[in-house]
Amino acid sequence: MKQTVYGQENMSIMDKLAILSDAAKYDVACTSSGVARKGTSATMGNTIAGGICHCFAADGRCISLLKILFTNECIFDCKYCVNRSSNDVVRTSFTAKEVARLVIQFYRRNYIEGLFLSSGIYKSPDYTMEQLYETLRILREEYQFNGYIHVKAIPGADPLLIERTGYLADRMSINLELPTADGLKALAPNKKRTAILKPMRQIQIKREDNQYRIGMKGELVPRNQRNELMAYKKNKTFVPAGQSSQMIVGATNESDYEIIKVAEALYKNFDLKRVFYSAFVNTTFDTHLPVLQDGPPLLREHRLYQADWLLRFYGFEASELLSEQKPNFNILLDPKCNWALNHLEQFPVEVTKASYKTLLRVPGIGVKSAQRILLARKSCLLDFSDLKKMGVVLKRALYFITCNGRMMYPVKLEPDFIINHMLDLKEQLPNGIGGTGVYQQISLFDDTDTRWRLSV
Amino acid sequence: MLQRIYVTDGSIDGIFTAIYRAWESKYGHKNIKLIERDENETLEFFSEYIDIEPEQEISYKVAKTIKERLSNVGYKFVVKACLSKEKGRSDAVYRFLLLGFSVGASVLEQLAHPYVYPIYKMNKNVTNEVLHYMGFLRFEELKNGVLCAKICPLNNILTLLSPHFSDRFQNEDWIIMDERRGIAALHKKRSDYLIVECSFFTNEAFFQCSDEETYLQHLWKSFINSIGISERENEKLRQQMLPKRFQEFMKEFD
Repeated sequence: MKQTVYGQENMSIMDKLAILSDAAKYDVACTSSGVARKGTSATMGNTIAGGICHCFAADGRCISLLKILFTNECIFDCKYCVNRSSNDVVRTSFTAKEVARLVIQFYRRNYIEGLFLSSGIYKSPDYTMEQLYETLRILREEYQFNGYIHVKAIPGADPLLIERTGYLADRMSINLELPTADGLKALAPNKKRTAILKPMRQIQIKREDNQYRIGMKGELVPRNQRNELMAYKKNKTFVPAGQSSQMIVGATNESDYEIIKVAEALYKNFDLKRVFYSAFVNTTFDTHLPVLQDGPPLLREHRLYQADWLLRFYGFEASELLSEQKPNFNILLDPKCNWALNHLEQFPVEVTKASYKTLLRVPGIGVKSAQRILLARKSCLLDFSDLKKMGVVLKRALYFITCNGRMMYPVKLEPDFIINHMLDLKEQLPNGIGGTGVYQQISLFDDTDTRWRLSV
Repeated sequence: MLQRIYVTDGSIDGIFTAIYRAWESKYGHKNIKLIERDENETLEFFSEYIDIEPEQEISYKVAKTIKERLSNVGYKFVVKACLSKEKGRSDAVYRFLLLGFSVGASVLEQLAHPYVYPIYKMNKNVTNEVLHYMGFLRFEELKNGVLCAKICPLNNILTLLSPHFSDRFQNEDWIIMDERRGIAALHKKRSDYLIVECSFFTNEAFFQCSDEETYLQHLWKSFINSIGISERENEKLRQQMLPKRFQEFMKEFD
């Protein structure tokens, strides 16, 4: 059943592309960011630090890379995965050359920033990793491709193979799949937590070597920014855009607290660049999986991303946002608002004097607007209309700030009062999340600690 | 005192020349206004209109002064405002420079100042459109191997967009045509790009697509269709992220 239904030779590139991109779509990471590399006259392509979105799929997600599986043939039988060995789907594989040609042809037409290459485990982890390496080698060496490449490291593959691949890739990732080892055991019997963390650690350690380059006499020379480009050409950097990982949300019973604790640990202990959260989509209808009555838990996924931003850019710790007693995010309020309402003793903040760190903790002030405030207040006395020009969302921030000693309106710093007003505002959720279109109207509520319902 | 109105053609050279002339006149900044030429504009009473023809030498002088007094960052800030679609950009740049030349490069920090904020807003809009086109522009391969793209930007961004592709595709021949303004960027393998008028291309046959082109567009379209998760379908979000005006030249949305 799991062998190819049609012989691979008979299948056109068109069919293969349709099958192997369809099989790759549940991987959420499609960013092309993290590394800036100039083009050269001998190669094709460059990379931009912030990444570029080239198109948007019907689900509204950015398409930046050609996201495909090398093969959807898989010896593993993970219960949540559409490509599990016991699932009856058409199986096929690309060849390394086919993938490389596709990337070049798409890249020339400015369809994509580069390649995102993942794969089912065909024959063995080593065999699969070899195929991925070979694809990258052809792209980099034969086609002189200098654009972005994100490749999966296959857990259990020979560390040497992973290392060789890492010198050709910009980003590598190994999916954690499920937030806890117990969850993994229950749904992915062929995968082991330790086997996932091992290559993650390997990549982390190898990446630390990027800070040095080998000098003329074979000695280690610290790299600085100025010779970064030269260094890349002479002895290549290892996974320059860093590594990422992904967790499936809502397939097992972990709380939000457990999930962001794991994410925090990945950022701190493994130096990950990004952790992605993927709202569980039931494709296999295995009896061990929860039935999702309201579709994938998109709002929950959204809250986790909001919290993730707070961890990475706003100086928050996971334990400040949630606790064992309060393990899940509030459906009605974003995590930062929720935190602020529980810490009213730290407010109001005087915008003209507060430190950058303090500004970042005010609801309605983001990274950019905080930076602009710091710049602008050097040369003139700010007032509320100036704050608005700098991108501060005043209708949220007004409860938490003073400007030159005055609040915008005379308001009480009382949790109930503020919550009531906050909920009258329409939170700007991404279109479609919450089901009511552009803005989600939040009306009456009686329990702020609503738990995520999970019907198993 | 009569108000003096300097009428520019809206180009960088035009705006810089008008600024130079206005300054030189010592007529008093309060009595001076800069506008872009527009046939439909109703004339103002008690005003003297002065038509300004762009002069490259003067424009160069102004550019040099801006770089010296406001740094290179400040110069880019001004240039982006000049390339903006905004009506009244000439006057906004003039006011910005009045302030800038008196306080120096620190003017860039005064985001909330009424002379700075309009320029800052134009910069944001122009930069965003460049970023959008860096992603949404589509090349088609012609029979002769040249890559050809058409765009229709609101702001005059061709000179801001071309350096990106110039770096990315150093080894390709490519053309980017701005259909709204009738200008095009021409890039020859391993050399710099130049800007020409679209009327430069007279040979229709030149633009015939290569044999492989349709097939590749089909491949790409099939990829776009299969990469979306149907359980998460969200057409509104797509519309918001990828506005209709960009889709016109994107074959996947035919």
